[in-house]
Amino acid sequence: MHVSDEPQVRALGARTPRGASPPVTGSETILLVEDDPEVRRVTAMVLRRCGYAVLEAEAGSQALALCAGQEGSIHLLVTDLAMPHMNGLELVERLRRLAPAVKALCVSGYLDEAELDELSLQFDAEPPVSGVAFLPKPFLPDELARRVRQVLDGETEIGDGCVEVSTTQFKRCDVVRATGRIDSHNAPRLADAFNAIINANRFKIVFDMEAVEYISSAGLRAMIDTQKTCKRWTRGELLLAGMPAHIRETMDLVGFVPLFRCFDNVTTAVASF
Amino acid sequence: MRPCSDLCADQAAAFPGRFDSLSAIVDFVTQAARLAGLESSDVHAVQLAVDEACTNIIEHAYGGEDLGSIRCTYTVDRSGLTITLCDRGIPFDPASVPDPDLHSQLECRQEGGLGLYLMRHLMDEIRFQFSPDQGNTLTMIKRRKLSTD
Repeated sequence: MHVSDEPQVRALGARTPRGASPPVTGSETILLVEDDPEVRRVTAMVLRRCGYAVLEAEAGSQALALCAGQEGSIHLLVTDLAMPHMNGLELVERLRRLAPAVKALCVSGYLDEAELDELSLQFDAEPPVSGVAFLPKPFLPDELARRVRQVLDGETEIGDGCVEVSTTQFKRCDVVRATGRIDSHNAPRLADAFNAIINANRFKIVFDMEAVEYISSAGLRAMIDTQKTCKRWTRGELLLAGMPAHIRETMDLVGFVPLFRCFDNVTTAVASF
Repeated sequence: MRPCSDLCADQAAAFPGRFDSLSAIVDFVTQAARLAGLESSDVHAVQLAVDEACTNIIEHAYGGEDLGSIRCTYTVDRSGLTITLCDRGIPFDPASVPDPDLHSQLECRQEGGLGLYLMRHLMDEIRFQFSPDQGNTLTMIKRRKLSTD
């Protein structure tokens, strides 16, 4: 196994697009776990040259101890896949008990090209552990830098807290459906969906809340802003449909219930326009 | 999940102080709330209160994303769930946050202060502390409802 510190030609296919590259530097903290000291030294050097703070460990147990004693956040784990005592995927799972939001990039060698391609495809399609990316060895420094930045910037979903927002246009109104948790991270997506309808001069909107797990104050603000805009000059209204009981309790708690008409389901809400 | 009886559990985790950490933080406390045997409506209350608390930390204590971390600790015991959130941001004074406007007409409705208001009403107890050494520490408690069986 080696990390190439010299320019090399290697068939990398679509995994390493050439040409104009986005910035590949950063200032995040990376935990690097590699049992080969020379590979670890060169990998750490490449990452530090990119601006990252790098914590080094030669084994999973040492990585866990480093994480437990770390005052600040660890943003990314870069780990060898095949290591004695604790492999890379086991390490990801155990590390996430200490730092559940940590992103992970597994690197591995000792495989032929066909096996590497198969492993890469498998990670892309369905990672064996949620939110883990893969980079085959050997890799060039710029390949490592690019992949690290890609994983750090990626919307890798860990856990089941994702939200989906979709809009369906009907003759009389538009229906916005959201699923999952609406928090400060994804409330802008809900606001964008409402604003897109308003910007099209359509002001009759049904918000289908049946599959919303919870909605935080950021989401509530998006709803109240939309209601204010829609009701101006009595040109329309934001109606709520299928609201779960616990969300209705939250709405009641903050005095929002009198500001919205609520319906049991989307059909009756749409029909009310 | 079966409610705990004599079980005591505690766990801690650190998260980057940014909004895309909220999902993982809420997953973390949801696991704790279920372990504590809270009713589903109380699990929801914990989720929302922690979401609001972490949003406040990012927006007000740190003044933006990626400027510090959030350390979340939970303790489960017979009485229920205690969650502690620590940050190294500027001191947070809850008294400086005005009560939200809950009764005015739609066009006059102000939207500030909802987060803190929700935290106070969703949890059984919340306490804010600040020390120069430890930074901000927010302790939130949700008690398990006694079974009537």
